Amino acid sequence: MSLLEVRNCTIRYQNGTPAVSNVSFSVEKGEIVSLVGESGSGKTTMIRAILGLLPPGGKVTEGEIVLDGRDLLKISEHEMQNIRGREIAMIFQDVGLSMDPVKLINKQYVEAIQVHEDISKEESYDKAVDMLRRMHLPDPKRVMASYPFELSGGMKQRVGIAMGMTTQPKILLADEPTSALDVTIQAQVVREMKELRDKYGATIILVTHNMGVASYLSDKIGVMCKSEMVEYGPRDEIIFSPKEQYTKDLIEAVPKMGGKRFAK
Amino acid sequence: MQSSEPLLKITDVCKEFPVKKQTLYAVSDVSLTLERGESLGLVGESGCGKSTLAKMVAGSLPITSGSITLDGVDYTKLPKREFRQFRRNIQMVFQDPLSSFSPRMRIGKYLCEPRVNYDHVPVETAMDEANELLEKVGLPAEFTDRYPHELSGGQLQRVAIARAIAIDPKLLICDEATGALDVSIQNQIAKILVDLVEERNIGCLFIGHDLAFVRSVTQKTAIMYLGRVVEYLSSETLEQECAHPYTKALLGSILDVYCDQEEEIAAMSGEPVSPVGKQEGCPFAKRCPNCTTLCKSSIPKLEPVNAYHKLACFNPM
Repeated sequence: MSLLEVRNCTIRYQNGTPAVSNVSFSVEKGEIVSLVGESGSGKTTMIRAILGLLPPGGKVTEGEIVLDGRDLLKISEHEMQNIRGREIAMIFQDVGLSMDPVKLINKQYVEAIQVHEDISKEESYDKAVDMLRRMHLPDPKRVMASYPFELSGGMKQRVGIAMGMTTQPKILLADEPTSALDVTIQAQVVREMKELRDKYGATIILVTHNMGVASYLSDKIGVMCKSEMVEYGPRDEIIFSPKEQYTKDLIEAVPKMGGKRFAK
Repeated sequence: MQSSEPLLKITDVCKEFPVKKQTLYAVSDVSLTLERGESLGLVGESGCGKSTLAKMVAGSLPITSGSITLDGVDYTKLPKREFRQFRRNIQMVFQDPLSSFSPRMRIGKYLCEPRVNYDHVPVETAMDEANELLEKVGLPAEFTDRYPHELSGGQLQRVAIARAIAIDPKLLICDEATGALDVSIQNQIAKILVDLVEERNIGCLFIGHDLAFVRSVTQKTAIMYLGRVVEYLSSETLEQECAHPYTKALLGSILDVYCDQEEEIAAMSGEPVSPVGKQEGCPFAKRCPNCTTLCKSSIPKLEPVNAYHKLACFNPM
């Protein structure tokens, strides 16, 4: 049985047109799965539904989302709260916005750990520092004693990933984790996400519009277009021999070094 | 108009901002030229001064020292009144399409405004021209009655380009003009821009952070790091000819769609140092794999390697 299975999922917002229609995919343990597509194709809506965090008005109208044999759509909000952060964690595009600007990283991080685990402040602190070190942040103790605004975008993103990974969730959902970063910093974060999987066996679902990032990290790729998943399969198949015209066009459109030039 | 002179000539331009009691060196000793009918790409990480340079070229930010000439006229020293008329020669296209439009102005009015303002043509004539402009960027004429929020990001960006060319500028500045768009839309905008530059024989300063994309729409590329141009070369052969360790590192950071998953990413470590305070030595020294004691003590100058390639490095790769 797969770790996570999404079956024939349809999600609608108030106006009735589906944002995600009839999407199915499954994620095995230790896999990195990417959802790619243009803006408005429904990829973010899809992964927010997994966490039960759809924006107001959004609702899964058909289908099921099964984690380890439990249908996440049928359980109570109270049970869902136990799953959030502990079994499924999420990192957002701009981690800085989801941090408290007037609290030290130390305080927010320790608080986040203590919500999920019954351990002392000191133990939580050590755990946090250890996690930051694993994300290759130089001088983790200084990072812990900083406010979010004192950290650069790349550092905040790594703190966010570290916070998401501390409770060792079964699945890490990452919504455009590298899109707001410079290419050089993006490469560093991508490298660390790969290490999370290779060293610690993390399962990651990645939403991105960057085909390069998806291609480098993923085991499987799902291509979404206008609310539907037009193609889903192993990475090599999608990248090197796509069947759908849309996937071909999407890959073709990505600017490549040594690729097509518009200027003469 | 002197035809031997390049369209745009930036000479030793510096920009300093006071920060408390210190100075932030945003742009230092930048010299670049741009010919008619050509596009020059400016690439670098955030905070390297590329937008500051663009604002100075557009004339919206005074320069600290140096000179910028367009068609031989040093417009940074013009009196305010004359500069207002001169400004029509330089038009800009911004990154975020929606926030660069007034939400209450219809597209038609938005397109008419520059012509009415600078050339005092009647609104009816300007409206006819607006329709033509829309057609030129591949949009239907009925868009003149729409409001910005009714258009998608790619469509708005095309309207922004249409407005920029409405009064026949000599220089077009695109500051991350495609940064917020999807790749497929990005390519449509690129085609429109490249065609315009060629057809109207104007110059285009194209700023971006995606090296692969910028090189595909420009003839020359300048790589900036911490306020300095570290390498300037032909876009077409950028990959083969680049020699600066920073350019190499940028290239290494690009994740290709057809990459090998087993391959380690050759990303450099660390982040750019702060531009506050005077630099001693090469700005890239702290992250450079080829750094020597010379690099830490003196700043390399941008010197020509050959006719189309300039480099600022003591130990090129």
